[in-house]
Amino acid sequence: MSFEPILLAPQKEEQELYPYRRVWRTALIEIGILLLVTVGTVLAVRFISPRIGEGQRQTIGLAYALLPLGLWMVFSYLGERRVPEPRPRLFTVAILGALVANAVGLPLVNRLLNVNEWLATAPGSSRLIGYMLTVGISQEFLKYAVVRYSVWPGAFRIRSDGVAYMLAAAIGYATVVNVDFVLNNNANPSVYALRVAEFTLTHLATSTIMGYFLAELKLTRDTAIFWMPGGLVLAALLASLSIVLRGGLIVGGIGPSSTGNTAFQGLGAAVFLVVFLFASIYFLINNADERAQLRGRLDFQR
Amino acid sequence: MIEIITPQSAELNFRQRWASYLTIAVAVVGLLGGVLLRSSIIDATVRFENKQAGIAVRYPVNWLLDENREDFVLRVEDPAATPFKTMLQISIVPIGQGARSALDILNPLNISRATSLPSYRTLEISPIRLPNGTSATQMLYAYAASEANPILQSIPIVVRAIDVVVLRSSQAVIITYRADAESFERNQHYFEAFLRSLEF
Amino acid sequence: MAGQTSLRAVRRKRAARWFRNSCQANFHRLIRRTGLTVVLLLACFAQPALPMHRAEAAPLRQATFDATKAQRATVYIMQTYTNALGQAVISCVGSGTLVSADGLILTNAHIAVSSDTCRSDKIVIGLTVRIGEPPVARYYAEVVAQNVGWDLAVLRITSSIDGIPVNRATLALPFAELGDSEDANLDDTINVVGYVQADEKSNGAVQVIRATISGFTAEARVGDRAWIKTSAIIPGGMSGGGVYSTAGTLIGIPTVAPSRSSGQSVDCRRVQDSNADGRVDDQDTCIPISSFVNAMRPSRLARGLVLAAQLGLTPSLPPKAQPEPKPSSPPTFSRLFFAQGVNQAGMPSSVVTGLPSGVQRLYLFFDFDNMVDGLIYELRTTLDGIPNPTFSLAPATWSGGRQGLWYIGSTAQVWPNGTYEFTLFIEGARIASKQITIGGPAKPVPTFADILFGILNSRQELVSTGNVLPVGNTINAEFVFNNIPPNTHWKQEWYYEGLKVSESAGDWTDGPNGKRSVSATGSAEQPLQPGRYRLELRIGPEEELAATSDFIMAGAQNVLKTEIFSKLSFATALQDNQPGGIVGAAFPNTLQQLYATFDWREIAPGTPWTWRWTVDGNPLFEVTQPWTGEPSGSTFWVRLDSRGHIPDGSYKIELLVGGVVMATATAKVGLGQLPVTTFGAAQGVQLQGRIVDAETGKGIPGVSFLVLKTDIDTRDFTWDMSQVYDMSLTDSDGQYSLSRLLVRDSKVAYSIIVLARGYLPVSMDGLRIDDKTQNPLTINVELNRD
Repeated sequence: MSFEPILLAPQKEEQELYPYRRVWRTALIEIGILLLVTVGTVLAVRFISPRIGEGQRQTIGLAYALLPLGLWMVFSYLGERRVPEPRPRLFTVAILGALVANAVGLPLVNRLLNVNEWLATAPGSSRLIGYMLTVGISQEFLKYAVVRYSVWPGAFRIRSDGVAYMLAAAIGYATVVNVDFVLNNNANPSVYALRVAEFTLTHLATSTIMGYFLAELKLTRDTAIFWMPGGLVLAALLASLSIVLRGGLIVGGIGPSSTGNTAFQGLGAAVFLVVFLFASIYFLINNADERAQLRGRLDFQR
Repeated sequence: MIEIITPQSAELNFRQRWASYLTIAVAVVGLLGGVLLRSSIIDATVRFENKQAGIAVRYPVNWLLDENREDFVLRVEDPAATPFKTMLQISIVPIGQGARSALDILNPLNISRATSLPSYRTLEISPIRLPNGTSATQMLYAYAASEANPILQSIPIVVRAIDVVVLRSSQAVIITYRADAESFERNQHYFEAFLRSLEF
Repeated sequence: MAGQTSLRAVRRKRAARWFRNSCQANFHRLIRRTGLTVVLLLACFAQPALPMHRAEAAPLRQATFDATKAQRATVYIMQTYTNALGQAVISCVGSGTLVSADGLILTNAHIAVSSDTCRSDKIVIGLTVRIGEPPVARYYAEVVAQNVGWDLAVLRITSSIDGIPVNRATLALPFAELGDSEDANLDDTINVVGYVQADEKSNGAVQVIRATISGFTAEARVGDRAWIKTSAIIPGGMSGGGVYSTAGTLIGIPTVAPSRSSGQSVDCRRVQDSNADGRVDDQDTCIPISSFVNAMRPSRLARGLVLAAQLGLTPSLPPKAQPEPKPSSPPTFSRLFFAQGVNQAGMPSSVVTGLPSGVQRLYLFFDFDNMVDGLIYELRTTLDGIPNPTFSLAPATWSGGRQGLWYIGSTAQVWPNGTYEFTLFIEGARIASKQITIGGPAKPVPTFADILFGILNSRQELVSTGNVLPVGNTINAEFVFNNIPPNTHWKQEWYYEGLKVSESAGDWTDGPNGKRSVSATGSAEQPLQPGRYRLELRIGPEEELAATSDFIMAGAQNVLKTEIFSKLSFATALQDNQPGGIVGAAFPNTLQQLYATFDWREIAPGTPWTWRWTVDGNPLFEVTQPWTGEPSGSTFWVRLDSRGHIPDGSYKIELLVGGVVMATATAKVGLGQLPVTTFGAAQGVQLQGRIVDAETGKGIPGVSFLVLKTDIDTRDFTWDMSQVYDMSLTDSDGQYSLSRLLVRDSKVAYSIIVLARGYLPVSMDGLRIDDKTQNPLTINVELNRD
């Protein structure tokens, strides 16, 4: 005789635990905090006008420049450690992104191509194409190359991995760009905050494109070979568009009481870009996942 | 169904390889395109012709053109250059039958400049050959440019300059290039292109 | 198998359809969710490189005194000489005011003209570059016009401090507009601008002192407003600077007498080892410290000098055969008396010894003798024993000649009641004084007044010829008398060249009021000679001076007028002492000299005569001097000299004796009218401002600030200088300042482009300047980097 417990209620189905860090959620948290700090800083400088010495300005600026990296470390990197399936070598990718920016990206743009000399005053269409073929192509390719030649394809298990790794590369890249800006300009904290936010958001936004295409190339069998280069072109174009759009929005104009208080519009453009691209890539990834699920179901049913 | 890929499976298929290659190619082509675009924007020129003076030349686009003044036929300045407006100029000076060389032009020019340009120094006078094969004399000089408006407080800027003097029949054509000392060599390509396009 | 295949196909089709629908639905949802469309992006992409922004309306303000503009127009003048070691030594300092954009400076003559006290071979001009900071030496200048008597001089900037000649055509200095000092009134607010000596309280920067006009001082040969007085204490360093009305125009020049050595110690500062002996002591040059200023020369006196300097004209006369010998006796002032009015010839209307309350005009007349031009004279007035600066005349430079009749007076304000003592000083030494009491009710006192001289017509009526009579053997005069009791003792005295030649006394029998004639006749042995005469009328038992007037006998009678000068004409040269070259009244504008020649008759040596040049009705030169030529002769000349060519205009020469125009003629040069730009004062609006980096807030040097011509938009601009109205580059602090003024005309609009490498360009169309636009107009720009 055996005595087994009689179940009075059906056993609950075990819900499958999502084993990976939710990339979009953590990215949005980081972006939200960054925006809060930025807006708070700008408003504080405008209304309180604190007296800050020149040496202190740069220290504060450096703190702002490192803030996105810090937020990423807290929410993304440490968050990765708390999930069952952490993504490997995420921090390595971030470091590589920073190194590549410092070694190749900035010298290429500022010294070899010297975009400051000829693009600011170039006519409209030339500015867009010019930034696309210089700043856009170089920075997007470098971030792609960091991920492509370090963790891809081995570490790509799901499509969100593309976004996660490209965001890591973007954070590293943007941090160096921000530090370079702070070290070469003596501005007040609100200017640092706005610029850091704009650079970071733009990099994060455009990186998701390459992240998506890298993921597709790994995980979707019949991905066309032109998608990757096409994605690069698209990312470069959007990066260029963000620069040109920002330039058009922040110019203060001329007047007897010209104050040039249009810097917020530049931030607004960056926010729009990141929201648009995050939403788009999220949608595309979801669709791809659903297609993959459906294909898998069909194969199973076969 | 979610496919779990282990890090060991790094073997690329045809599409993946070629997608990577194409991406690199696009990046390289794009950068080359950027370089070419840069050259085309920086080196874009506009044609100028003065039939009366018998001069035709191409000067950089979006440079401010000033012409037909008493002391020059053509002067173009880069309005975006800071702190000194890089300048190219062509002036024509009548010369007499007794003029033997460009020194007959350069010597009085130096003396009058020394009285009007602060810290004027002649650095070198040497013969050269223009891109079209014409013989000419080149003079390198420098001076300190200062703001004429006494209310504006400008630090004097060291300006380097080149005068190229070409003698033709009863005239001397003087082609001048001036830029601040720091950007003199960086902008010299404008002068070289200017000389190459010069027809008289 | 076949069934399974078809089922698979159906499921695949369904899956595909589901996928398509799902994608489309999600896509549409995505588009709706994001909200913004590609159109926005394309619109941004299509934005031109030069963003257009509407001009903001300039704030509306009326023209008022602009302290910043006035401070910038005020210059610091340093007279310097080079010592044996080649070092520049400063000998005298003072203030001046720029009165034209191309570098004309108005100041006191004693500050600019080299003298014993102010030895100089170069004049250095310092400008205020930053308000609140001391001036910065910027230019050298030279004297181009001067009137030592009025203590006014005009300088012209010639070169920068490094010796490079300036190009006056491109010099665009801030300058003050000459106003009309005749419009100033008592109690008007004025602003005095000038430099003060640097000490523990002041860093030597230009100062603005607000003051009030407390009175006007009259003086002979200038008129009722020879000086503008203020009760404010103005440091002596501001002498030569500017006095501005509330409308912002220059109406006066603070003037303090030059410090004189004259055997007296001079207040001065020794600051430099001028003799290079290694120490600073009594042997070194001392920079005079001027006393306080309370008198200002009206700008009216400077107009001619400034215009002459602008036109590059100087006057000439024939050289004197012999220099005038210095007087052997010391200078004196004598025969002090008071009058309430002055006629056109500068003679008193009548003599007063006391006045009732409410008097507004009072003049102190006195004879002067053995005076030398350049001596310092002064009038100190006390009221009931207390010094009264309002009715005093601060030390001033004498320019009245050797001998004659002079007056100093005060008008336009009520003289308070009390006993006034007027004391005259020469070079600090007391010479003479006189008292008068003002107060109480008006009393009818016997008076003689308004002596007139003239020629009798056929009806034996006196036709006044002013104070100039033709040479003849009879002098006719008439005067007005009032309140003369019968049998009052009265006397007439006649003087010739200071010596009494006739007198006549008697008892009054002509009634209390009316007019009376007097006359004097020469004898056959001693006919009346040309020269200076005087008539004195005395009244009462003590024979108090009741009326007096000087007059001049010269020339000959022509109908009922005195003719002294004749054949006044113009020529371009003199040949054998005759008019030569082009002779006539119309000349080409290639002249370098213009002679005015005339004949003369019967002028005694020493007779004061005046020659006056004007151009298009504007004063140029006016000089009164003693006649040094022969009594009669032909082809005397006065000449206009030019640095280049005499500009187009109508040039009039007037010859006066005794304040009466004796001859006048006009010559037309060129078009016969001065160019309009000659009087191009501040007709437009000065545009200036600062261009900064929007991120760092620091000024950007070398930025191009272009203003396009009014018919050119930024869209039409083809980077041709012929389309540019004016252009300025920013200095090391990002400041810019256009040299051309923007025209006040609301019908036209300017376009602006601001451009610098590495920054996004900024432009604007539609900047309109109207009558209410403030001047200067400040437009600040922030440039953003990409």
